[in-house]
Amino acid sequence: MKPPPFKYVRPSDLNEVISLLSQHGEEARLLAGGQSLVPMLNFRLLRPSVLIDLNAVTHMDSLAVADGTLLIGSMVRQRTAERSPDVLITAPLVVQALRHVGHFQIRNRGTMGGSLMHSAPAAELPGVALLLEAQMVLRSSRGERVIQASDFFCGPFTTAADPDEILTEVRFHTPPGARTTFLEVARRSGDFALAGVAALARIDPETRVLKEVRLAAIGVSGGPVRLFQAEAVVTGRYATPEALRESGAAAADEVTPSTDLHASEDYRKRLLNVLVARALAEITTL
Amino acid sequence: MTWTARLQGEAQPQAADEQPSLHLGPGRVIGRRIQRLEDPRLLTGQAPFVADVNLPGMVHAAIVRSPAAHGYLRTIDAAEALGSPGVQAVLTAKDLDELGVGEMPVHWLRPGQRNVSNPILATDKVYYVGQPVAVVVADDAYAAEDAAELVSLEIDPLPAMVNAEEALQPGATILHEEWETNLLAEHIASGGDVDRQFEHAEVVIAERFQIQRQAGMPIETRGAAATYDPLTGELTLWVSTQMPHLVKTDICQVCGWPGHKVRVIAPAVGGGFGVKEPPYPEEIVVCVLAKQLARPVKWVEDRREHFLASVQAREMTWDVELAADGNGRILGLRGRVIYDVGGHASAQGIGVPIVGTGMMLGPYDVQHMRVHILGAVTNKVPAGAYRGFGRPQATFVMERLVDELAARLNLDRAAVRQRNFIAPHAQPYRNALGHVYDGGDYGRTLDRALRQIGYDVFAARQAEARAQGRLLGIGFVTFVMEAGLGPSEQIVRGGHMTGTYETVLIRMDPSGKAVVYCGSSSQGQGHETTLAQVCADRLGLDPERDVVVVLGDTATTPYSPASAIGSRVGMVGGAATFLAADRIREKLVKLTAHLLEANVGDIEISEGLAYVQGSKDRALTIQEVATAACLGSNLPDGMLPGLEVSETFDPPVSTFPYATHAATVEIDPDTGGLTILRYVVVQDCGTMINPSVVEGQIAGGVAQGIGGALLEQLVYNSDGQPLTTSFMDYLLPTAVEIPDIEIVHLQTPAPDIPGGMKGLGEAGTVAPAAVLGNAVADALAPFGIRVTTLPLDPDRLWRAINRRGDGAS
Repeated sequence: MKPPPFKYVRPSDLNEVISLLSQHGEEARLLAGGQSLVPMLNFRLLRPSVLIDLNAVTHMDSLAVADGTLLIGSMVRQRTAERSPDVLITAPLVVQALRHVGHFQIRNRGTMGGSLMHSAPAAELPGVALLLEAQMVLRSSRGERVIQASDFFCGPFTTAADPDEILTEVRFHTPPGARTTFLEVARRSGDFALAGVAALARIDPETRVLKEVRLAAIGVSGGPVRLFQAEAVVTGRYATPEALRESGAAAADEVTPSTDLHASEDYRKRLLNVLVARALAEITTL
Repeated sequence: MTWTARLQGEAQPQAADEQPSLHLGPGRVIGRRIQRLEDPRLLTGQAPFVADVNLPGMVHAAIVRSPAAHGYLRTIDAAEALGSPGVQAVLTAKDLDELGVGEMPVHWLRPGQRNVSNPILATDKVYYVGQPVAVVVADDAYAAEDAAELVSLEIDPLPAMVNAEEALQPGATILHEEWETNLLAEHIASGGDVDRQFEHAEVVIAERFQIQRQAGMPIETRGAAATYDPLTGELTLWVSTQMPHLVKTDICQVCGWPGHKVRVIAPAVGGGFGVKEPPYPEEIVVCVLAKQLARPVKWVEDRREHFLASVQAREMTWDVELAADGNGRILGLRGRVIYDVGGHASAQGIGVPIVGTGMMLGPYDVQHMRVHILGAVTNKVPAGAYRGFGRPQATFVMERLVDELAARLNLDRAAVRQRNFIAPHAQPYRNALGHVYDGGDYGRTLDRALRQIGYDVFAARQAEARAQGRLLGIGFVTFVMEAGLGPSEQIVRGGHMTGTYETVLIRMDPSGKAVVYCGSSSQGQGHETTLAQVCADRLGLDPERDVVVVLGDTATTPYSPASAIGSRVGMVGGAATFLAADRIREKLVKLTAHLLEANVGDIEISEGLAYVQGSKDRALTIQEVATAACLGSNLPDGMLPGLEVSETFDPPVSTFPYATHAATVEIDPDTGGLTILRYVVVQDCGTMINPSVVEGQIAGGVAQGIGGALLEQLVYNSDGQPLTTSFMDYLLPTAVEIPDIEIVHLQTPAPDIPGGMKGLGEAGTVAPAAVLGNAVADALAPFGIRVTTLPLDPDRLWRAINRRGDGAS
């Protein structure tokens, strides 16, 4: 349980990080909160030759709101985001999801960017980013680019970021008038979800029909997935128990979870079915 | 923790505050809720653990473990590792052989048992993933682990046997070829004429139960650090163990070293739960290396290693039948249990199912049983002790059968139990296997628990919930356990290598303060506090200010063959302390009578004073009397100077503490998710030395039992590769998963034990799986589900509700 040897650098400036990344590429790993990386090093599952510690880098933990969009630096601690009134107002789903991320001790260290870049299949924040159609800001020696969340997550522990790129900021926007929730089932409090759902809905104030519905699932695929069928089933309808049940059933039909130690494929489908219906019920109940 | 223990009305120990004028003295300190004396040290991180032992020049060991579950070990190539930076040595079985180091003894033997010792490092075969094969020693733990990766093992793989039942089938791959079978040992637990009972039984419940592999998982992993002084030839080992004296005995036996040159110290130990009961190969290796290299050597197990190298437990398959008459009167129990031993015998052999089966009939007046116990080797980590030691499994099996019997006859489950309980007036009761109980009123604990949890109104609540589509269930279990085993001769005759006595030495110096030396060690149970309370109680001292307890160092403490196992320290160590302190007290009384020119019969000792009864002005302080005794002047005729007493207590009998646990649960029919609504324990453990310590032991045990019932499972794939090697996959319960635990104490002193204590430490773990199994079966009764397999995880429960095969039924 000791990591293999690596070179450790602790830059204080983002440009220095970018230059180190361009120099070392795949040989380098970025250390943010360390809640996944450090265990993986100790298990010797990862053997980077250089560890670039981001904890002394300035200006990476800013949190701002511009035009109703939340701009969150990738080194913002999860616990900071969870307790931020700005986040609660502009992107309540982030707060709703963070409550399920590990335990508060983990969230004290864990960062927003770290979780998104690690991109574990059952991680909550990638599901949130996908649902809110977040913009991921990447920097490298080649400059800055912005990727849509839907193009960013590419399967288990894989993102569209190149080895020399660093995620510097994420932009979350919640459509006006939308209500959101995040539900998951885990074996224990704080465990990775067996299945989880991020849900967003807007109800037409005149007609009471569901105008916009977005659903994203975690834990049932290699990464977060949008549940387009389940969304389509209820969009434009009243939020009747029957409609919600149909949405849940559609959700279960559009994923192919894997069986592992903690749950079988069909149990995960069942959970997703139930969670979608419950999540929609929660955000459509006045 | 979220649990809150509540001391209920009955059997309040004589609380000090009821006697405001008298705080210290016989009967005043035993039973008091003092804060634990060890806690300031433990809770502020000041207590030294093995990992904290750092000596100049110390080198670090890393263990090379078998990556294969089963195979012939052809070659070990350590050349590259030896050239790795900082490496001092690589040790293999060949080196141990050349040094004349023997094999690890098995401490629990049955007639015909096929292995009585095991190699320290693998020789020609490997039997499980994680088996120690070689040891790399380097300047630091990092360099040692880097080099350990470079040791190359050539292993010709063999098919892995991962199922104990299959391992006993004809044609199974044989692990230990010289045995020509995978059967390590067997035992038939038999009494009465059970087959005859089945002939005229009106009801027979036949069932197969499967209990999964689990482990104790102490928060501190194992570890050992040794140093050798070439000038004196003395070796000192710090080791995270429950049994420092037995570790020493094994080192001396295996290495051929003389006992007076070996000192074993168990410093602060962060949990044992049976995992740290046996001596382990790594502990021997560290000693051998310290001597060979003439440098201190340390090895601290990491968590992944712990999953591969420390004993696991609980895995059994039971095929059993219960016979009864039409009124629910139980006539007999028969069947077979296959115990998954793992790659080779651990120190405990097949002791676990023997102990579990021994008290399987528990509180029931049934004189006929026969259970055939078979211990089969498989390519998994050796199985051994885990708090409860077979009792949780046997209790799960028996209590599920009783619930099924009641269901079959459409009788109330509590009534069936009451009908079968041993009557209080039939005590002392000799059970079918010859264990003689020391008293018990099982109907009373059951009644009390059912009253506490509201059994009489539960059925209506349950029916109402069912009408709303909600699934509520209640389960309850009364059990009796044999605790603090004794006498030694009987235990040794039963196949256990060591006796179960305890020796306590108490020294008082002229200051009048007492030091208690006990050979048992503590892994957090509170032994320092409880033994101090017993000593202080007898001597009129303040347990916090006037008594120090020394544990776990073979150089200073009396020999202890059984140490902190079998729920015995409070009972056996407590009794030895009680007797030793009484002898000091006797001497103080005699000397006081002499000094005050009073009658011996008139002297009382309390509040730090020795005085003539009824006239406190005729008093000496304990300090004055102790000074006189230690100086050796002005003593009565025939009295020798000094205040040092050693007493050995060998329990004339075991004790038989008992309890009823009851729980209510709710199951989400959509997800199979289970919530424990309430959990009640009514426990009689005899005299409570400290009710807070008792409650901590019960709560911790219940938490572990709940983990085993709902969450924990060690999984191997068909190649024998362990799939659960971290806490991400092996799910221990956290505070969130554990409900409040409501504790009610009954207190019937053990008749044959000085002080009246009965064993307690393991009791909490015994019932939860059975209680929750019964509660789940009750909740799912509308679906006709038989709960037979653990753990009761949500996937399994949802499948059972939806009849998707492979479920609980």
